[in-house]
Amino acid sequence: MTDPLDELRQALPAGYELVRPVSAGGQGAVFLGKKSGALVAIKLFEAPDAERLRREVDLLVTISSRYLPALLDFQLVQFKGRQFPMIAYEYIDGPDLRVFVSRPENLDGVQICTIGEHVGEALEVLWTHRIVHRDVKPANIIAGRDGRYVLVDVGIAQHLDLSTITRGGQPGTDGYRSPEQCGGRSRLTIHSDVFSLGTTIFEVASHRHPWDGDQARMLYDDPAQLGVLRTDLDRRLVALVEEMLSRHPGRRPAKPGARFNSLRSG
Amino acid sequence: MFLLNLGWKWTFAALDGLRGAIVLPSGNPVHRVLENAPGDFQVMLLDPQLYLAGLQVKHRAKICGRLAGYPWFGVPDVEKIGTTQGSHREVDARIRALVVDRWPGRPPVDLNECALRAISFQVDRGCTSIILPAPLVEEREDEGSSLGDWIDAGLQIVEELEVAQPVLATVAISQKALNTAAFAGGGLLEAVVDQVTARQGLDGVYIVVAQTETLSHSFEIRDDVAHAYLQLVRDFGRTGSYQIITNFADLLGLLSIGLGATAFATGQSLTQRGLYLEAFRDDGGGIALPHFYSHRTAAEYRTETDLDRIVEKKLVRRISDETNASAPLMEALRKGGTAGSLPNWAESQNNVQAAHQHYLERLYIEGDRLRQTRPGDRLDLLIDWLESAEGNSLVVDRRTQAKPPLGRRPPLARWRGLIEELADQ
Repeated sequence: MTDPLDELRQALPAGYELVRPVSAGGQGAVFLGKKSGALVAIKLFEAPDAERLRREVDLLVTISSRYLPALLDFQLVQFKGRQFPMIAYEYIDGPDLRVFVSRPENLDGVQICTIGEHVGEALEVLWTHRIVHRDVKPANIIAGRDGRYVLVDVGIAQHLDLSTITRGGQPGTDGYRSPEQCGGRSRLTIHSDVFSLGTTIFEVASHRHPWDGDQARMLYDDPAQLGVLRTDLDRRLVALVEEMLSRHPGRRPAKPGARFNSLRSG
Repeated sequence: MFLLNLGWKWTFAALDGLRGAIVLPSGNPVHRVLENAPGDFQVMLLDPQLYLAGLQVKHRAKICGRLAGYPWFGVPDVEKIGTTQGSHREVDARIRALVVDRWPGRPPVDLNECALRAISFQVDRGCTSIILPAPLVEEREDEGSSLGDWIDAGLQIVEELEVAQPVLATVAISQKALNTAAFAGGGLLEAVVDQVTARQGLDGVYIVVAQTETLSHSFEIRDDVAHAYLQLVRDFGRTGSYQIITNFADLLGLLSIGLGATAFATGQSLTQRGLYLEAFRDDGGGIALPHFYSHRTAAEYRTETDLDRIVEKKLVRRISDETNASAPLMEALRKGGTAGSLPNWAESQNNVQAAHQHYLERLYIEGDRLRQTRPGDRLDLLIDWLESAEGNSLVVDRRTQAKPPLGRRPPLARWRGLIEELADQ
């Protein structure tokens, strides 16, 4: 019997090599690969509307940020008798932020601000194109070995990638969706991603989810107090995270990267 | 700060001490705005009033004709008529005849073109801030998303034209969209604030709430409309950096200053004091009688029918309100006289100029008083005023024993409850 990975290797466009699978879920899969010798992340979708995906890719190619992986290529791949859209991204070498949540050591305030600044800036860049990521969480932020924190799985084709579809049928991940995202609001803004980033930063800073991972409680209860869990942190940093976790989107910062930057610099 | 709405009459634009005005296309044919400057004000705005684009032309040819003269409404062939020979009156009549067939009754579909025209016009007229055009939010399910598109179009044009003036987003909401859920978390108002505050490049908001029924007086503003104004002001005010202007809330606009508004606008006629979509009918208007506004009771009194009774019961001190316009009246009342002895105040048909001037003077005096008060103290000052006005009204009611009570007045207790509740949340 043929190894499916071997089959896929043969199906990839010329110049691409498959190194190993990274993650798979729903109808999308990510692989580590090489293109012309350089490491790349390869994502394959089962997409019913490749043309729509191509249009989204055309938009995303124009977006540039050090804190978003560069989108390198889009092609259609024939595999097992079917056509799959394939996207190649810049490969960011490093673990995702879940390692900071699970390990006992605390990040210091500067490190926390750096994460907020980098990912916040990525969200701001996306929002200038009116793109909302919708799935900001520790697993989607890579702590690059070059010191960057890079937001991956950028909102591309969230409607196509079922790995990010939750029980409610909405994009996003339970425990990280903003109240308005949970409420099914169709036109989200950067404020929604800022809420998810606030939740992520809280978790990374305190090793604890602000609502213990309970999405329902996020709609009605106040979050745990970061200032109590981390008495050593600058009060302004604690206040900024609390602002990001406001139930009211209009009360959250719209330029999170700039806010973290001023904290880190100040 | 108080801003005067300039509709058909610019009579009061020269009031001493008036700092700002807003030109309303609904009240002014375009040639009038192009050929005249209303005055040299600290704040001079032109409201594009795109939220009136949904008016239906039947029975409203007059106002639709006026609006059609402004290029951003995108009414076909109007510009050609504007360049034809004839007096302004003749050109206006031709446009009015044209709109019967051509008025679209909906906002333009080309957002960028509409924004370009509206913004260029304001820049050319020397407006001190630019109000981005936006249609009325009428659907509860809209979630402010179309408003977001309009703001984006406006901001793009602002950038292309390198506009230097502060930029305000129009937030125009219809009373139709204001069900109970609209005010709750996740509701329409929250979504609108979300859409606006997520966008960079705005210096503030210009808030109007359109009322679905025509009220006999702007003090009768419905609770849901009052709630929408004040909640929006509070929520935008919490950004801490926005200029917030309310229009058509009339006296309630003064209260909005307590929750963070920087200015409020109203005018003299019913359609300049409240935004009643049904009031723009060709057969609208009618006879007006003068009413004296007393800030001490927050009420308006018929100048003879009511004030004579107040004089008779020795209650003048309770309603006393002296401005340049009302000084002669106050003097007469204090001496036990009647407004009937003063030509400017006699209770006769359409003898309203002095009464209007007094009301507007009082509003800009109060607006200035608030401007000079520390922001954190404004709410207390306004609540003190409401409580005092309630008290004075009670005394007047008890002593005159009039049924119904004398004067037209807003629901002071409900307003006080609402503003206190919103401030506490």
